Amino acid sequence: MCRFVMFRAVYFSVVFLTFLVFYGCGRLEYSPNQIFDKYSPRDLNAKNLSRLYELQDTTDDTIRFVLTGDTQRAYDQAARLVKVVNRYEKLDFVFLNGDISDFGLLQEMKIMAEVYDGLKVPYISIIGNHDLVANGQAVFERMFGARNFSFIYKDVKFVCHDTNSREYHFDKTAPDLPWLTQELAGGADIAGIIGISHVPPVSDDFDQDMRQAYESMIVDHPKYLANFHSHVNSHSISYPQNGAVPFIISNAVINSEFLYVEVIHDKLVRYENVAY
Amino acid sequence: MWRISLWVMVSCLISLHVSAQDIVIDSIAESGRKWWLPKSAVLQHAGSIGYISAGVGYDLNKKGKTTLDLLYGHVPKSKGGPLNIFTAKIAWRPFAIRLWDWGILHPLNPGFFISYHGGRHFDSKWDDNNYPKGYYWWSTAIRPHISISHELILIPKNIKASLPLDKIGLYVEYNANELYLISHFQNKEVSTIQKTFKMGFGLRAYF
Repeated sequence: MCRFVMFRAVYFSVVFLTFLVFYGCGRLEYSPNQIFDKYSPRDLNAKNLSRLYELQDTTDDTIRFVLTGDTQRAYDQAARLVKVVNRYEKLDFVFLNGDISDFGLLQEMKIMAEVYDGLKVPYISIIGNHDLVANGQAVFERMFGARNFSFIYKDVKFVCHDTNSREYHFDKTAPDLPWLTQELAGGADIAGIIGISHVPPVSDDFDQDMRQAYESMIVDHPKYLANFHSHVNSHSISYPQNGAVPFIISNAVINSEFLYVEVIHDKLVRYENVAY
Repeated sequence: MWRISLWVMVSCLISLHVSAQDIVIDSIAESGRKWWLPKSAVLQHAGSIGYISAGVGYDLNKKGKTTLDLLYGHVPKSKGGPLNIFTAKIAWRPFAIRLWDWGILHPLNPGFFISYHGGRHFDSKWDDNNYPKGYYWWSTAIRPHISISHELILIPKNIKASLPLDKIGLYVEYNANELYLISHFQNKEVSTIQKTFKMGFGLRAYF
């Protein structure tokens, strides 16, 4: 009798637990703030860049890209954006210019990476202020890559950098001016430079003590074509220090708008604010 | 930071006890047990409060259908940490299905818990010197969760008289925190229940 009861009890427990554990295995979470899990992607920027070079059409000089920003927790709008962007026939890549997440959580960046993975073309991600909240920086760096990085596509250099000064308590490390100086120096084989960063210098979240030096560096550079930003959730264009370099701010994915840009060698041929 | 974490945990414990005391006091008078002695011990895997978490449980009513658990959880570096998490969890067991003489099934147990992340990346409030008021609205350290669990209770004594424990509970718990819920309700297409509710399972030894 005793043995039978024990058998039945053990049998029931095993069935109970295996059923539920199998059912929910992918949903096991150790903490919303964990830096990675079993299923989270890694080094997406490096992977997307190598795909970009694989897909490169060497017979075409024009670079066509879409700049999106501030997806935050607007997963549905981001999914719609992917559908709209996929309709472009000749597109090289897409920028996801910061505030990928709203709360700096792994779950959010995972979902957004999943959504942007639906793009036909590669996408490059830049860090935003919301991505630096809580453990966000570590999550971003593992999933996407460095906060400051650059790449050369065709003959244009794209300098992606972190301008989220407020998240570093304005400690002068963001933007990283020595790194930028190095990135902007030299490069005889480069026709033009384009800068991409989340917070525009006009925002109070950009260290205003560094603004002058930052803008001068860009405006005075002979090969600088344009600087792109997001963050303020409205589209605008300005020419700081009455220079010739446009600072273009994209609207947010939350507001269902993005920028479409065309560049040929040393010229910003076209840019368009697209509402969808 | 550790000291602050401990203080929060202790004050949490005290404040919850102040409110819980009225309920518990009757049963203490009857049983003669010291109120601070836990009625159960809990060991849990995952469930958003640590890779492994462990703690003690108190009964908030006579039958022990409502429990308060105080847990410490850890996520090691190899699992996406290091993270140190303190949790206060309340759960109700409104339904009980008797399984012959060896067990009880509590099929659907709603609950609520608050987790606190210690460490320099997490704060219960934003630094006023750095952020304008209302810049960010949520707390990075304190996370409220809602939960639902299934628990299977085994009564070892009825299986074999020499077994020491009164009851052993095996449970599976699903939880969602407030940030996941907000994102869920805002995104009907992309966000699913599977993405919003996270799982954990555990073992409870009743004394």
